Amino acid sequence: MSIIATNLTHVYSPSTPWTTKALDQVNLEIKDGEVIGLIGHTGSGKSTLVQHFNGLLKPTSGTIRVQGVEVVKGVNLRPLRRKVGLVFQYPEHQLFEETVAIDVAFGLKNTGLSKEETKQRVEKALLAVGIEYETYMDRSPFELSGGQMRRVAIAGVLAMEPEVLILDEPTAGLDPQTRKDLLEHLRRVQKERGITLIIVSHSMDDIAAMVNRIIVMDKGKIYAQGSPSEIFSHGEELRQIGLDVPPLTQLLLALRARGLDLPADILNLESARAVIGRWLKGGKDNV
Amino acid sequence: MIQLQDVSYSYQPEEEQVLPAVSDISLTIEEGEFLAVIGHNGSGKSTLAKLLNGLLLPDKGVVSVDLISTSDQEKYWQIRQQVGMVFQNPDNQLIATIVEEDVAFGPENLGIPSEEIVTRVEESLSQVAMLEYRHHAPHLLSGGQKQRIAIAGILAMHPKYLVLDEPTAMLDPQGRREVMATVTRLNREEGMTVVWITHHMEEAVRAHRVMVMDHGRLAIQGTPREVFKQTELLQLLHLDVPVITRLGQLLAQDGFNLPPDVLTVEEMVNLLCP
Ligand SMILES: Nc1ncnc2c1ncn2[C@@H]1O[C@H](COP(=O)(O)OP(=O)(O)OP(=O)(O)O)[C@@H](O)[C@H]1O
Ligand SMILES: [Mg+2]
Repeated sequence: MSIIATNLTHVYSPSTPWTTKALDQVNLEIKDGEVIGLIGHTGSGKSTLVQHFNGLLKPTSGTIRVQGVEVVKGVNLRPLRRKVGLVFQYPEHQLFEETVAIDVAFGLKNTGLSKEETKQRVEKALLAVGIEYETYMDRSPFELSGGQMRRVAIAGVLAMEPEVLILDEPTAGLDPQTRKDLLEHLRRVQKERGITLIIVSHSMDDIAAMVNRIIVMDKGKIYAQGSPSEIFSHGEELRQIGLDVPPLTQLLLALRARGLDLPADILNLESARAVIGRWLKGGKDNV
Repeated sequence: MIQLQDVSYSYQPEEEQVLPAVSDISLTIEEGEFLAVIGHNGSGKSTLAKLLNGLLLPDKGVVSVDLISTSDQEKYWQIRQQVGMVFQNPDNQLIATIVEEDVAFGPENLGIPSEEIVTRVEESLSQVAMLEYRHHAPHLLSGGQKQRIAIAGILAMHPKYLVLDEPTAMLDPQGRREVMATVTRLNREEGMTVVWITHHMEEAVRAHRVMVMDHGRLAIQGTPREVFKQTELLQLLHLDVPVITRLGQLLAQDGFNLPPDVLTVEEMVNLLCP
């Protein structure tokens, strides 16, 4: 199964003075088990696109099929919502229960899980975002710091163990350690259960570290697609549409601009260390 | 100058097993300074920010702005005007349907005469390079533009201190560059005192001083170079160092002659390829 968008168009507030076309004829296929990074400037249509994936928004024209279900008016979307978990860009808007534990368990209601199983899922999900169950279970989700709220909201979706997991800006507001732990957890879950993972992010670093394929959006259209090294080798074009490349790629591009023969598609610390080390050791004189 | 003397604040003072959100902090923020504040989620950064302008009042100790205590109720408005705050989500901070009305909102509340407001709106929109958008609707702007409008709204109240709580967290790279450039310019060229809270170590690099919070306490402070040399300690505190700094340290471990405190891409390029 997969996600297939055909000529997907979405217009907000049609026939009013403030109408906006947020998605314009988008064609796209995401296969089972892919890890996708969705990038683009604010307002480029990323959040609108992913809200079609679990039926929160319906197309103005064109079609969208998700896990075999066509998202149109009148279709019962409840089964789909169970398979496709979406963490919103402002997940604190997703919190509403009295305590952290009840909030994270919310999506597990009516799933036939026992009390014990529910508790285990909740504990595991909170652990994944670095929130200690015993300390926080009875706290009100509204009496937490910004980053803590975000983590609880993410845990609520993780606990549902969806087949397709979509996170809209999952690491915004998280401290560096939590960010690293969360990304590692997602990578592990993805491997173990083979889920489809879609990450929307302004952090080029997160994207570089995580995904197999990047989809770049600009003004409601797909601007480019490819592997992280393909996409990030186009620094200048990315900057022109409001984006950037990760700092290590910036460094390598800047060194190349000074005439050094180094690869441009370096995305992580260890490979940067290796290629620069090799160049410093020997190649330096030959350049 | 903003001064904190042994300041503590607790959201649940009656519950003794819960640590105070801010514990025994003493700190002086000098005029013209750019102070970056980093720390793990829940370490007390936002609480500290709200203590600086009297949104929260300390349980213990004193916070004073230009020697006036924030607990002095008669000076409440004066302090709120002196210490402007900008938050993470720009959408929650913009109220009006036209940019210039939004910027005028603060000074109107202060009872500034209308001719003066017109001047201030123009001035502050120019300060954030958004004057040409004065007649636009804020909701149609990009995230970075919205955040600059929010900053202009604060500037129009003529504050001396600008406190920004993760102002770039929700912005795309371009928006982040715009907001950082705007605030850096306000600090360097106009002498605005800036307190910048962030989870992005790369942003903290531009500050004069970095302070690191841990469970409500001030754990480390110093220049960016002094602080980001301490990789292991920072990692213990749930933080990190800029990736370029880390690369320099790893290459040094491999026997290459690089200092442990390289902070930016430009510096690294110049060191590797002078
Ligand atoms: N409204 C509130 N009621 C009760 N406790 C709160 C409230 N807001 C924050 N806290 C608690 O106070 C402590 C400090 O929170 P604060 O919001 O200052 O942290 P922060 O450093 O800004 O975190 P973040 O990086 O997540 O924004 C945390 O333990 C948090 O759970
Ligand atoms: Mg905060």
